Amino acid sequence: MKESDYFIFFLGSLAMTSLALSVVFFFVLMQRRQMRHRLHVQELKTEHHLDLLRSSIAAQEAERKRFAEDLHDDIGVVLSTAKLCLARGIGEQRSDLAQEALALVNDAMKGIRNISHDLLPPGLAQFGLWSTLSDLCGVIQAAGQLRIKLEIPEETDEPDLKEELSLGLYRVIKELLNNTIRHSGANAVVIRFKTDGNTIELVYSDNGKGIEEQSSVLPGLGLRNLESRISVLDGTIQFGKAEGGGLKVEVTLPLNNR
Amino acid sequence: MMVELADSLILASPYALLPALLCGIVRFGRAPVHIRVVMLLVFISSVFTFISALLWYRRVNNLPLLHVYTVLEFSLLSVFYARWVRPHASAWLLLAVIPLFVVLSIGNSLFVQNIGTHNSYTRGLEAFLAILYALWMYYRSFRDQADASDRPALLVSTAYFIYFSACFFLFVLSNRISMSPDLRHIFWGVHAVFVFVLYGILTVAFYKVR
Repeated sequence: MKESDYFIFFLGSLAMTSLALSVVFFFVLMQRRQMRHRLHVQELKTEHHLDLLRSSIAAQEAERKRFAEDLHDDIGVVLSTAKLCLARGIGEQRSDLAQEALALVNDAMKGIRNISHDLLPPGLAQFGLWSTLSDLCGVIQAAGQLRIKLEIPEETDEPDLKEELSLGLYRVIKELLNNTIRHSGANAVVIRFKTDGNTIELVYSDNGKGIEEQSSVLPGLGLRNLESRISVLDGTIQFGKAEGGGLKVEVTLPLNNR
Repeated sequence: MMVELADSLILASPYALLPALLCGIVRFGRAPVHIRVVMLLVFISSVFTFISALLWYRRVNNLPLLHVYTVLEFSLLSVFYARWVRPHASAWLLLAVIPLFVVLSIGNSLFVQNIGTHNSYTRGLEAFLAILYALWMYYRSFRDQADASDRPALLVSTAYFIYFSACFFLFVLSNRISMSPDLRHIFWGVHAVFVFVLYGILTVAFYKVR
C-alpha cells in the first residue's frame, strides 16, 4: 500500500465518519425541533378547544339565565296577578276581576308561546329552514331598521336537512343578525345559501363596521359560540371582510356528516 | 502499543454481539417484523462470527464466509427497509435490488475476487447502498412523521449508517491494507471500534421495542 493510499484511507474514513455523525446529529436536532413544534401546535389546539368549550358552557348558562328571567318576570308575575284577581273575584263575586284574570292568563299563554318559539322555532320541522328563515327575516325587516336579502337556490328544492343541521343554521343566522343589529351599525344584510348535494354553504354579509372594528367586542357577542356550534356539526366557519367593508361570514357544513 | 491495543479490540469485538443477541432473543416475540429481520441478521452474524473464530483458531482461511455473509447481510438489510416502508411502492424496488446484488456477488466471487480474499467490491457496494438507504430513510422521516415515530427502526438504520460510513474506505481498500501486516491490525482495530458502536446501538434499538 502506497503512502498516498494511506492518506486517502485515513482522510476518507475520517470524512465519511464525520459526515455520518453530522447527518445523525442534524437529524436528531431537526426531529427534536419538529417534536417541539408539534407539541406547541397540539397545545394551541387544546387551548382553542377548551376556549370553545368554555364559550359553549357560558352561552348555555346565559341562555338558562335568560329563560329563567323570562319565566320569572313575564309569566310568573302575570300568573301571580291572575291568581290574586281570581281569589278576589271569587271572594267578592265580581265578574270584572274574573275577566281581568282571563286576560292575564291569555297574556301568560302568549308569553309562554314566545319563549317556546324562541327556544325552538315552530315552523322549522314542519315547513323547513327556508320558510322559517323567511319568516324570521320578515319579522326583523318589519321593524324597519334592517333590509335583509335572503338568497336561496331556486333551481333545487330545499335539501333534506337533518334537524340538528337546520336548527344549527337557524341559530347561526339569528346570532349573526343579532350581532349586526346590536353592534355593526349596518342597514343591509345579504344571506346567501348554496348547496352541491354534499355540503351546504352559507355566506352572510352586512354593510356595517366589519370584523376588525368589532373585534374587541367579539368574544362577548356570541360569535365565538358560532364556532363551537359549527365545529359540533363538523363544519367550518370563516370570518372576513365584506366588499363594502362590513362583516362577512362563510359557513360550510357537510350534509351527511353522521 | 497501538498494535497491541488494536489486537485486543479485534479479539474483543465478537463479544460486542452478545448484548444485541441476548436483547434480540428476549424481545423477538414482541418486535415488529422489520425489527425481527434485523434480530435474525444479528443471530446470523453471531453464527458466522463463531465459525470464523473457529476457522481462525484452526489456521483455516475464513474469508469465504465473508462472501456469503455479505450477501445475507445486504439481503436482510434490504428486507428490513422494505418492510419498514411498506406499503410504499419503493418497497418493491428495495426487494428487486436483492437478486441483482446476489448475481453481482456471485459473479465477483467466481470471476473477479477469489473467495480466499476480501470481497472489497461487493462489500464496498453493500456499504454504499446501505448508506443510501439510511439517507433515504432520514429524508422520509422528515417528510413523513409516521416513519419518524418508529424509534427502534431509526436506531437500526443509524447504527448501520455510522458503521458503513466509517468502514466504507476500509472495505474498499481491504485487499490493499492486507498487504501491509503492520498496519492491518490497526485498521481492523478501528473497524472493531465501529463493530462495538454498531452492536451497541442495535442493543439499544432492540431494548426500545415495546
